[in-house]
Amino acid sequence: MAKRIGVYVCHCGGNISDTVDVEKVVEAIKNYPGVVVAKHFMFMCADAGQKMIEEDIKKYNLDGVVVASCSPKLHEMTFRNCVARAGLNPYLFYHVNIREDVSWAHSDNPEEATKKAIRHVKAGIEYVRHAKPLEKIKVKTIPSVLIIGGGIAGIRAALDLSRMGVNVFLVEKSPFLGGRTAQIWKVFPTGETGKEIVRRLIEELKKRDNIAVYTNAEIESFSGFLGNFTVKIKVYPRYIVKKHPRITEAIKKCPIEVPNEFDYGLTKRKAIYIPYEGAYPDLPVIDMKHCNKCGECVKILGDAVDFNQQPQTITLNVGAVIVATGFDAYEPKEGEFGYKKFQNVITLPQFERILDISNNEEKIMFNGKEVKSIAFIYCVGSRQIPTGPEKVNEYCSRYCCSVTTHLNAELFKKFKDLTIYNIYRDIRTYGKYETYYEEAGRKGAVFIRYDPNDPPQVCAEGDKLLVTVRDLLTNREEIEIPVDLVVLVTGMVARENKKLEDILKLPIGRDGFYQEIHPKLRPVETNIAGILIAGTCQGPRNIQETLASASAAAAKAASIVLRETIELEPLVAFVDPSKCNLSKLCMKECPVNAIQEKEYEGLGVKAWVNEALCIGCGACVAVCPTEAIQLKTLSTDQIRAMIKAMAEEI
Amino acid sequence: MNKLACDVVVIGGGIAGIQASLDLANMNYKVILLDSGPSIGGKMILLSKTFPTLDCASCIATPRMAESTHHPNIKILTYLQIVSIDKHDSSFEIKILKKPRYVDESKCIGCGRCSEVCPVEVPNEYEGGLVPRKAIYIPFPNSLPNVALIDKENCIKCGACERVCPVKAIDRNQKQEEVLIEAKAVIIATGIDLIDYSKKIEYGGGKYVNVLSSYQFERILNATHPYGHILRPSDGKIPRNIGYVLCVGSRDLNWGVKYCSAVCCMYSIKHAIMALHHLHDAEITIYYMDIRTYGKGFEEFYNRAVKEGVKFVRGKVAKIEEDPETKDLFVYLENFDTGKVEIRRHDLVVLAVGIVPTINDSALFKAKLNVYGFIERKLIDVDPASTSIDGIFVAGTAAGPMDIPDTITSASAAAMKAALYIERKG
Ligand SMILES: Cc1cc2nc3c(=O)[nH]c(=O)nc-3n(C[C@H](O)[C@H](O)[C@H](O)COP(=O)(O)OP(=O)(O)OC[C@H]3O[C@@H](n4cnc5c(N)ncnc54)[C@H](O)[C@@H]3O)c2cc1C
Ligand SMILES: Cc1cc2nc3c(=O)[nH]c(=O)nc-3n(C[C@H](O)[C@H](O)[C@H](O)COP(=O)(O)OP(=O)(O)OC[C@H]3O[C@@H](n4cnc5c(N)ncnc54)[C@H](O)[C@@H]3O)c2cc1C
Ligand code: SF4
Ligand code: SF4
Repeated sequence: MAKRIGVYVCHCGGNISDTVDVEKVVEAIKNYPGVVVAKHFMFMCADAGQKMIEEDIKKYNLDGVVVASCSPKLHEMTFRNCVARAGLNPYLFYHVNIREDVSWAHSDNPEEATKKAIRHVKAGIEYVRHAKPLEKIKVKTIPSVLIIGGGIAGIRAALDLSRMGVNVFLVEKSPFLGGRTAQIWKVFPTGETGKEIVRRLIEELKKRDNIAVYTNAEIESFSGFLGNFTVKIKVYPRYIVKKHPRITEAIKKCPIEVPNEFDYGLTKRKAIYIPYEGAYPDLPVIDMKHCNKCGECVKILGDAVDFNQQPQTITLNVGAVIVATGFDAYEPKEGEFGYKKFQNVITLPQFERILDISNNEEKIMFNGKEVKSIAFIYCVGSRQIPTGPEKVNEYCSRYCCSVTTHLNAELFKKFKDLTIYNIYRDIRTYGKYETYYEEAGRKGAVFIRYDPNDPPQVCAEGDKLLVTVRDLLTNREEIEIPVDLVVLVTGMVARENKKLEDILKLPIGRDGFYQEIHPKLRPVETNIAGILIAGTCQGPRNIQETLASASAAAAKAASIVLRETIELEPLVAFVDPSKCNLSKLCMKECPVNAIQEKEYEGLGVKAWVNEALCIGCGACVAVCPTEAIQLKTLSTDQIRAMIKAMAEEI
Repeated sequence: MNKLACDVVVIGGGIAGIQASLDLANMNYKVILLDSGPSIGGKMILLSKTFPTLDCASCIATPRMAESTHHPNIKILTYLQIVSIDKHDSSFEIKILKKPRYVDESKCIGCGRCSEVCPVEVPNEYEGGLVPRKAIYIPFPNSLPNVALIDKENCIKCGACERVCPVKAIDRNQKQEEVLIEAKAVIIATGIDLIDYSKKIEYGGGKYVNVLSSYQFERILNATHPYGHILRPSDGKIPRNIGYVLCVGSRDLNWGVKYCSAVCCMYSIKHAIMALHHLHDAEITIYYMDIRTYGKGFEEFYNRAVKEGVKFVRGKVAKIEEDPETKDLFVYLENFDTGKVEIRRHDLVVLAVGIVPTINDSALFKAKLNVYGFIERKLIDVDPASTSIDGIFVAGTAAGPMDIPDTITSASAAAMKAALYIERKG
């Protein structure tokens, strides 16, 4: 039992001390049993504060330390490391939160807040008094990483890890890699095609022999812990089992035509298909939903076609997982700015496909007619204003202003006599992207600012469209703009991925995108240790930002799996076999099946906790009738002593 | 000459440099982190709270700073100048000049007694010049290393500090010291400065006392605030009516820079929300051209400000004039919503001053700069941490304006690339 305890109360530069009287707190506990030193300081987490604690541990020969400051989420690790440097077991330390729990919560009542702080600090002292030294749990790591999603984020992360000597499993749900980047006509800032970017990444990928790519594949189950996960994946049949020189001919012969989803249905594809030239893997797939097994392709391809191919389940062992499942484009509601009501109202992703498909033409053709005037309506599906209980996309999609202003300039470069109207709310070409906005304006694009509470109206006039809008730049004057084409600048939305989210228990933010553990300092990590997020599944962003986050996630994964062993917190349950009467209630309660039966010498069969699986939730502790099962970091005795200390009169 | 060797030299100890160093160190590479200033931490450690979650900057930056100091794979050198960077076949040679602090770093315990007795007062650059510091000083409360230095230009050699220093750390004979570092790769993370708005004559060019730069306002709002409260400099009165002008020097073809500084819309909204929390009935008006709240949770933050009563006026501020008696300010603007020219009175005006790169010497840093002076990313389409020189990578705002989340992401990416460059397994 710790008897020489040091207590340190932090001002947090005013965040705490503006409300809590920190001197009074120190006064109140400095004679509390066991306390040999008590101090307050401006920033306990600063180097000077940490040094002070280290020196005190040595000077006063402390065997327990309490720090009262911000949330342990922020600094528990900081102070654990600090006391460890001074030679104290890091679990003989307790972090009391008097900021989020006290000063911030009760900024209106300094007196009571100070009392509450005192109670919490006393409880902390009791915790430390009853704490036992603990060791971290060491587990072996598996030097492989699973990447889910084969867009540019997934491929970039795979390349980085592979080049560090890490084995990579890249699992893509669709039959081809590349994701949505391949659908873009001309990409800012380089002006090359999206396919070109994908092609360059794939070229590198082909050279790697430690990346296993599974397309048409999905995650089926997931278990384990940081450094050692077991994942089952299901690979669906492609029905084409090997390459064949006459593939193109066979595709031509297929009698079935369906809309090509890669082109948003603007073109048709066959039941046996490759979505675009250069798609990887360069092996077609048969879409069994539409194939009628007429056998036309078999006539040409012979045994390269196998209609009897079955789904395969593969078990993978990996040390870390990167989720890179990307985004979906917002699909406007029917009638939203005339969408689906008028044929020549389309979305930006569709427009990109039109431009790409007709890249060799000198005019923009749509429905057999030349397009000479275009109106882009911005922020469609983004920055929505909440009006009722219905959930809306309140966020800004970030990528679209830069893309569209850049597209203005590209269109002017390629097509003559084009008139372009940009009907926007704010132009958000942040950073260097401002030059696209400036260039678009300079080349003659018209910018009209609309009020979201009085949005533009689209109606038909002959074979043209008429956009009516009040221009905020000219004093809300109502103007009518006849155009050939209206392009809705649609935002990004979180991809529909319920099954995967349930299996991995992914944290999801208010906006539907995956939630990082800390929005500033840990943007690619999640609250599940070992699961990282990369690219647009975390939030809207452009290619460059996607690639940076993929490399960042790769760096985090590498630092997990390149170590032979990693240390886990001993935040686990353990059984005192002499008290256990094998009621087995704990086993029923445990959500991760971490409790098993085990033969103890001289005591017979009792319950036993597999520490690597235990998540330290404490569900077992609550049901054990004999208090035989306890959490190592928070015993029932500790809790009782803490409650008693808190309830004491001040 | 002192010689050192490591795997990666990281130049710039802002949050980008710190993050890149930590990632590399955690992958088991040896790092030397260099900062020209007397402390690491960069801009972030000096911020008040950070958007959009409003957590305090010290609280989240300090542990990272401490972690990098204690990491066995990281060595930090501060208060120095980069003299040269040379690339040889498979390594880099970085020559630096460690400037004398005139205080022995290994002895100083950071007690600050020297500053208490020093009789010389000069404007404190860390507080945006709002309050003075002494000729011997510790840069700011949580600086790292937490040791004092003497600003030789202003020191009068009275010897007061020597007499009080409990550990006899003051050493007037310290000489500058050349150090040669050999490394396998280099990361540039030299960050940003604010545009010098003294050339903006129309806004008073730094002459009106109650016109503050956003950085000064950031300090006023800080938990360790120089004034202890939000006050206006001229008379110490609590401001009731604050005007906030966006895009000062940014997006400006005539004066300043062409690009958008990417963070000022958000920090201005942050300042407005924080100021409203302190000064309940104050009126805060933000003058803007476009509001660029493009990041995760940013638009929600903007909407929150509108709900909490921050006024947003779309317009261009043509000039600011001072009432010589009251020191109140008159803002002349073209209000885009009404199309009219208006004059509005404020008792405090804050300018959201744009940001520029700190380095401008591509001959020294070797890597090519873009037209704006930021480090150019060579393979921007497939590898955004790359520069024109193989083996030199860029992290954070040295590559262009960005906020902390993007800075951190780009720093981790740069760490990954530096590691890959060292391994070169294909
Ligand atoms: C119209 C438009 C134009 C654009 N123009 C530009 C531009 O000019 N410049 C620019 O920088 N950016 C541009 N962007 C943004 C760019 O497209 C994205 O930044 C980029 O595609 C994001 O890549 P990603 O890998 O994160 O996601 P995605 O491309 O969406 O890839 C995700 C991948 O994960 C797979 N997947 C999903 N769920 C699962 C699952 N459960 N299991 C396995 N795999 C799964 C998907 O099939 C897909 O292949 C544009 C975007 C749009 C919509
Ligand atoms: C007023 C203001 C408020 C802000 N508020 C927020 C906010 O609330 N949230 C947010 O996300 N972002 C905010 N930002 C942006 C944020 O400050 C930056 O994103 C971040 O600080 C960038 O970090 P960095 O490491 O790239 O650069 P810096 O912080 O500038 O660090 C660069 C470091 O390099 C050193 N250095 C410079 N030149 C050399 C050299 N030649 N040799 C060696 N070392 C050198 C410097 O001393 C410095 O320590 C704000 C910015 C400003 C100006
Ligand atoms: S980036 Fe521009 S178009 Fe896209 S949602 Fe944001 S403001 Fe609207
Ligand atoms: S971020 Fe906002 S204030 Fe800053 S330059 Fe860009 S548009 Fe102007």
